[in-house]
Amino acid sequence: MSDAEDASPIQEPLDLVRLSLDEQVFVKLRGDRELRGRLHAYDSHCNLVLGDVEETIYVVGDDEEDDSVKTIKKQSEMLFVRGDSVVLISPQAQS
Amino acid sequence: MSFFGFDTSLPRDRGHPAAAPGFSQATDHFAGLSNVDDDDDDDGIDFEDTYDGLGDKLDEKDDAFNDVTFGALEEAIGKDFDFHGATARVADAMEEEHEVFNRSARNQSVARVAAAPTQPARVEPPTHVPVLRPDMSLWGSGPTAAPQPEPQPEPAPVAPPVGRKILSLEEVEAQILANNEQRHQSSFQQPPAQGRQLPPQHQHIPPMVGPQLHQYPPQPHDLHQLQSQQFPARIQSMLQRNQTPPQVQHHQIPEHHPGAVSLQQQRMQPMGQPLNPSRNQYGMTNHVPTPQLQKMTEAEKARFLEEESKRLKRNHKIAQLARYNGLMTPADKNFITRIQLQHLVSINNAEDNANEDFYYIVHSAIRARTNPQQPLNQFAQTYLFRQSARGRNRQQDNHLQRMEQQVQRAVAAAKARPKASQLVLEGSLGKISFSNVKTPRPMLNIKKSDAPGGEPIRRTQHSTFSSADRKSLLRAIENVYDALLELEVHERERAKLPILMPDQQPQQAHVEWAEKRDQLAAKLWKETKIMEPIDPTSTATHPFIAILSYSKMKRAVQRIFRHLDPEQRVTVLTMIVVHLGVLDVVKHGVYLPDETQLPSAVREEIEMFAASVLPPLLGYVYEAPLSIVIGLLGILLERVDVVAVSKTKIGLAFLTMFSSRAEIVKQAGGAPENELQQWQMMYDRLFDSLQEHWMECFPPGMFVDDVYVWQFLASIAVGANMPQQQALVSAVKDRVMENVRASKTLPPELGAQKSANVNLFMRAIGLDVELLG
Repeated sequence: MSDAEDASPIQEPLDLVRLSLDEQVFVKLRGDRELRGRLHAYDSHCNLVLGDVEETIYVVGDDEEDDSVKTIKKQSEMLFVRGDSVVLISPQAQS
Repeated sequence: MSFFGFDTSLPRDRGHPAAAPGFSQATDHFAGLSNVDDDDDDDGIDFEDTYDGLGDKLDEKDDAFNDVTFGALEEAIGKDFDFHGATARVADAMEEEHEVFNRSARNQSVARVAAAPTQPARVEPPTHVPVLRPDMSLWGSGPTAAPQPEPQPEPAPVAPPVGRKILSLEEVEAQILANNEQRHQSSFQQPPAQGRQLPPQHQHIPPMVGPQLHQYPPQPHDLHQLQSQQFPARIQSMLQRNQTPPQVQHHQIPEHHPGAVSLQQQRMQPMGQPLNPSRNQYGMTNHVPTPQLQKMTEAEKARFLEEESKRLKRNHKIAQLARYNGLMTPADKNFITRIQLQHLVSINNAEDNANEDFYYIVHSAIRARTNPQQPLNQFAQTYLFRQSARGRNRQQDNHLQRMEQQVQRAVAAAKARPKASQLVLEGSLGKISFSNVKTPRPMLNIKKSDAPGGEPIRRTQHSTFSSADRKSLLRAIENVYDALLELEVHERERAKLPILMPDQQPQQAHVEWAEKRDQLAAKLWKETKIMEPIDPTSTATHPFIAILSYSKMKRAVQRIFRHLDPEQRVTVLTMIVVHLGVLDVVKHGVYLPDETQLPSAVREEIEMFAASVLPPLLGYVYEAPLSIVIGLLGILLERVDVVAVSKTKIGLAFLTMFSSRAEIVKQAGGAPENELQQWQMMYDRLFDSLQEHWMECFPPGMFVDDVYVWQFLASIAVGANMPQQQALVSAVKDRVMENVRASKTLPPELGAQKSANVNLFMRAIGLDVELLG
């Protein structure tokens, strides 16, 4: 890491999440959900507060023959995500 | 007791000698409780003499386990026997009475001792066991005993004034008599002769007395009769006492236990003297002799009674509270005190508070600033908190301050104590901390490694930084925030320092604080990367400009600026001006040919820049001397493509900033002549480079916000000479006319806005939109 010697080098995994504060992030959640939004805050439990979130829910069709995956999208201005459902947090380059 | 056949056999027993053997046997199990069996035996002999064998007729073969089988028996008897339980039932009233009595009795007992010195009060050792133990020595005098009662142990005369306690026998008797009175309505009317059984029962089985007495005819004359015939002399005298003036009592009962006396009076007076409201009466008889009370006028009496009842109520309350006395050990109390003191410190210490509840404090401070309508108390709270810490050496804070200091010392000592607050588990990523009040459940606590030799490595590092990737930029921003927060926390520490008088020498603490502040400010300055050398040959963006492209860094600028000295501020300004062309908000702020609107992300960034970065810069420039303005504009013209910059909102904002500041300085006068000349040169250069490009300053589209362009044109026009003004007017004439026309077709408000914008420029050249018709 090029900046490992900086004043507060990365010491724990969440330090990486810190870099994404106020940035667009991609968050994968349990239950086939994904979020894209601006990370406002997080804590040690991976509880997140996201702004301008687009939530994508993947739903598999109920019927036997119809097993196609449908996606449902929702928009939220502000979202609190409980940490126990967070699978991954990924920084997303500005689109 | 009915299962002994008691009730049914009663009529037959009527003529039976007073010994009432059947009953004594029935309650034999109580005799076992008594420690004084000898007395019992003596009485038993008399008893046997008069025993008619009736008890033998009782079928007792099935009674062996009565006690076991009939648990209820105990209860039924216990009603009268269980002194403690009986007392508990009347506990409230009794506590009250004890209170009242003890207050007065203390005085009285003194009087009594004085009155009858030959009969000192007997004091039983406090080791007296409060068990169910009828003290048989009380009954040493038989039914026909001499009036002088045997010396009798008094149960703990110095007993505490409140709380439940074991009744003395006198009390029991008094209570029984009172009960008798109370039940008088419902009790069976037994012939007075029934009472003959009483004295022997008294001797053997005090617990049995109650039920027996209940059958007493309560009429006073019967009572008298009974007293004279059967009661032990002591009781007789007690009863008589109630009918004599209370003063007499003092001589008669010098050895009486205070509680006992009070109970006697309480219970007996309803019989002997059914006069006043009983509640007040017992209180009063001890205090004020009844005759005296009677001498009082009605009003006085009422007042007196009222006072009395108030006093009683208060005593009662105290008694109830006192019930919980002594529940806490000294250690408990210390513990509570410590917690309270800690709270006191953190409540009164705005700084601690700020650290623990930082966001609330800041939030309310901001709200207080921006919302004057908010309730005053919130405002007051927010600020008084802080001031209480600041205005420390004010007089009124003195005691609080002293308190705080003491407590702080205590807390510091507590903190200094090593505590095992952490647990290192094998295989865990860090230490697991236990939670406590101050730090509820901190997460992993990883030791910060002060990277040794970090400095030298950094030296070699800029080269890599210039090609900084996104992550290292973000890291750099976080470092800036770290430093900034650290510095801000330290700034708040200042309030903890003692306040210096203007002529005072700074103390050690102040010096240290200032040193630390400077050190932190230097660190912050370093973290902004602003001093990274500018490499004109490099294509890479300067790190400061690179991190400034992130909105979070833009937001930080305003906060950083506060901690910079003027020289650093001008450095920041210069750095931005030099890189104005590559500033993200300028680079991306140019409208593409087919664009009528910038992408929303870019617009957001521009807004952020205008809201966060420009104000501090503007604030600086508006106080800067002309020379600096000239220098900055010079750099701008030299290093930056002015035409490109002028097509953007932010670029124009900078140009407007410089030209308007220069114009103000110029008009205010006092600027050195050579500087004015230099400025004129700069201005001309600017004007020339923008010539032919004025219209490009406007954003595309008719109905966009172009006020900033008009502001810029106005600031240019003010400083322009005649030919320049003419050139300017002819260049933007079409736009002016368009706007004026549009303002007429638009709704009134928007139209007025538009023409006002145009007017900014028109006024600058001495015209007005109105003139255009």
